[in-house]
Amino acid sequence: MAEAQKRGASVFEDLSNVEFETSENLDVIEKFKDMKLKEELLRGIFAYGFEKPSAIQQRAIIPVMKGRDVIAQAQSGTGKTATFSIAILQALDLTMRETQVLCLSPTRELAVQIQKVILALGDFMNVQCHACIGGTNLGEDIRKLDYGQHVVSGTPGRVYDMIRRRALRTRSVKMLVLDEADEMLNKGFKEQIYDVYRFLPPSTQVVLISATLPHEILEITSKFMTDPIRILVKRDELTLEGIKQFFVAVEREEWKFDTLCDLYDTLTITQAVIFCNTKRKVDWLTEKMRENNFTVSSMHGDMPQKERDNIMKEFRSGQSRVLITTDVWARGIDVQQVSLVINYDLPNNRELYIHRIGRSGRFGRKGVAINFVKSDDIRILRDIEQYYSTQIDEMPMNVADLI
Amino acid sequence: MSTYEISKSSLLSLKAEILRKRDELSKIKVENEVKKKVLKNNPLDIKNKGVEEREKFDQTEENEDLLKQSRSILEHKARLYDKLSSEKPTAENRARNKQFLVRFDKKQSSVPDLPPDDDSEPDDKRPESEEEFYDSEDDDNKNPEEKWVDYVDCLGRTRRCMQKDLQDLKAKDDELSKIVDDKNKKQHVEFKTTADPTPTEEIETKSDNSDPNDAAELLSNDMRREMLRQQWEKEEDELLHKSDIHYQDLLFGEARSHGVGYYGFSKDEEERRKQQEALKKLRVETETKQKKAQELKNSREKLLAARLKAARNRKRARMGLPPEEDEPEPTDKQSEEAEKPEEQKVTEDDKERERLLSEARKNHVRPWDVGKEGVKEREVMSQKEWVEKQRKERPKEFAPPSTSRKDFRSRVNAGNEDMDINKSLKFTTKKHSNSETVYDKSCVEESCSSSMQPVPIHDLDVSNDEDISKRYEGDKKKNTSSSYSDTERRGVEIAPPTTYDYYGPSQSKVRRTDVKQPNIHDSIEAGLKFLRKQIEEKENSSKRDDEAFLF
Repeated sequence: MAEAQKRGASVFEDLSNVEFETSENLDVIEKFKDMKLKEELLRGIFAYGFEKPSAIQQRAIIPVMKGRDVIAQAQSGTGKTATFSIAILQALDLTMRETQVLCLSPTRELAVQIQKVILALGDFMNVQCHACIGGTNLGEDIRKLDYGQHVVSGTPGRVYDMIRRRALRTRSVKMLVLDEADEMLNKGFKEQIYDVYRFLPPSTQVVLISATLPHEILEITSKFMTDPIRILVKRDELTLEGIKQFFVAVEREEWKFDTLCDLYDTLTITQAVIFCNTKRKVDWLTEKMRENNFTVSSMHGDMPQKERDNIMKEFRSGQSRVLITTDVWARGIDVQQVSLVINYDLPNNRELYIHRIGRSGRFGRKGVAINFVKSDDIRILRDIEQYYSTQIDEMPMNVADLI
Repeated sequence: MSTYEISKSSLLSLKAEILRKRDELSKIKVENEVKKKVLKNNPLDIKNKGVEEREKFDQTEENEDLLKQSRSILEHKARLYDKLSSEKPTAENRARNKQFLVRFDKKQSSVPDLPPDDDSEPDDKRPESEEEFYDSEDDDNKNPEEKWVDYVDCLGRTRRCMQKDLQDLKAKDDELSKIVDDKNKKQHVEFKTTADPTPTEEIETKSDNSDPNDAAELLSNDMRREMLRQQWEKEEDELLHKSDIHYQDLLFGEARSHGVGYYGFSKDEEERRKQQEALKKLRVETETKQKKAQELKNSREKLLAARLKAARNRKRARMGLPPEEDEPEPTDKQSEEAEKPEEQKVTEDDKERERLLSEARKNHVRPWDVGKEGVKEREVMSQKEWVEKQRKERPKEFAPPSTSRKDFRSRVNAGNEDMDINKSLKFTTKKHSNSETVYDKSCVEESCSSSMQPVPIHDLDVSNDEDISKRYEGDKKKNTSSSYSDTERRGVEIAPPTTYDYYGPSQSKVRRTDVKQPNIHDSIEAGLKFLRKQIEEKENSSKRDDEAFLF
């Protein structure tokens, strides 16, 4: 049966690739220096720590710079954010202090991170980029936009609000970037994206970026894109070699906690992220870990934005080592030192799995993902394994030796 | 602050490096074995390692035994856990418990063992007080100089620390209290040492180490966090009044390694500008120097070449030969020129194509743009859109009568439809719907399943024919149910499927024969018969072949 499934899948995949495959005649440019970038931008790129462009950067920067609509897919942590950031910065007219690029992302933390990357790469250009996110002071937002920003990175809700209040003028916008595009075009967000899109000048350049781009998402891109250049990755190449994946089989839900305690010393070697499926469970697990005298921090969407900010800062500065969180953290967040991801609960869909384990192993670093599975979850894990043609081995549990 | 940052990040990376090395070392052997295996295979055949083996492994009964075995072990372990955690603490127990990494005697927790379900609220009991926790003998350190001491910090929290760290902490606490004083009302710093159960002599540690990093390490986590948060808040307040925000303003002590070219500009706008100008000046200087050096090098090379030539000429003169002729230097340029015209031709062609394409792109109107200011209605309609438009305009009474239409549609669609479904087996792009009720769904499903039957003919794998047809049916049912959901059916304007070229029109002809619904079953049987016949013939022919070989 498994074989039959696989064959069926391969038939599906072959033909779906006939429909949506990577565009032909893509130029591959192997050096930043050969991309004809502004000198200040080039300096910013090297200062940020990039030396050689990654595969996606070699292919996608040029078409975006040229003004083409682009759909770009690449493995997690391979520099997708920098890809569109570089292209954005190259396309900007810095003499004009108007919003020229609008960049939308699904979470506030990600929007702030993108703002940071754009500011970092454009440090020598003195670019102005504003993070327009919910949970912050409205008046402050309006004031900041009034100063004039070259780029606005935000979440759809607040951005739409700002556009309607005419605090964010869209007249000069020439590019719309949707990071984590598959999430942005999912049911929850699609309407909001449409609302924002309706305020943009017609034929605005659109750039879609994500590590996962399911077929149904690619289908709807024709509604707002013109003859896009596609750079896609087959799903069996989507998992990174550098991220080793394991599972720990547990009989009962309670044992997950004990397993986690056993692993705690391993977690704190560098930094680790633990994913639960619900906010309540995050709270519960945090409390329980603290009760057992383990130092952990936690973050989820029900916390006030101020608190979320502080926890992000603490984690980014290395003050906290272990973060328990929900899928709010699953996509895009980049903390270099995270080398271990634990799926306390298995994610609700295959795409999320890729995004979650992609929090480790950033830009060529090594990472480890450990999945806690109850016996009835094993089937789900095997499905994920098959789907991405990857390998998830059992992690040997040595608790028996301790007794 | 900057030195502090560096030490923090380098500490992290150092630890990461250690982990990495250790990891590498332990995996080298395993890795080598795997590599050998992989190298033998043809790159096309390579599957991810272990996938196949595991598949086999899953199917064997051994696996079940293993599962049973592990289950019994886990159950045993659970019993042991329960026993250990339910035991009353005795001296003997404690001594033994020290061997374990799990504190079984502390496991009677107030937080429920089970995570909250979606409907059950987790207990809201607070964790046990710290006091109780620390009083356990677990924390009673054997080293006499590392005695635990309690004190109350400026925020009124009871803290516990090592005796030797007390001085430092107190100093730090004083600093913090000053900060807090500015913001809140003054709180007096209390300080008390609790009597330790085992009185030991204090050994004064030399705490003249005034390195701020060291002090930060000694601070309690909460205190450090509090201080950092206050600092961040201050920084953010400053940001509110700045019109220009730069990367350095948003770093907040992030532990990120930058490139060698990174320059941490000042947060002060004026200072920042100066730094950037200085950098630019340096850059210009470097460039001019580089240029000069290059020129110097070139002139030296020329000189050298001239000298060599003179030497050669002298040699030739001695041998009685005329001096060397001057070679035209720029040989590369000529070859470049020769190549150029061809390239130009190609690029011109490309340019023309690119121009046409970009024009087409410019004229294209996206569906989401329709209705925006400055967007004209689409001038050129596709055939599909035109037909659709005409259909909409057509008064209902001019539509073909439903009875005759039913027949017609089912006939035409029977052919088209299953091709369509055939397509939707692989594509999800094409969508169907039940909005148009020309004929009912069951009929569609029947007709397509019947006409789908012959498909296995094309499958080369004849041996498990039944299997495949079943699978096809299964797949198709899934597909039809899903793909029939939301959009409208397009009927005749459906383009021929991509399989058309490959399979040819023969299939559709076969389908067109099953015009009337009652005949469907007959045609299925006929198809099956045909199939059987084919297979038999094949087998026969292969047999004959065998026989021919035998004779």
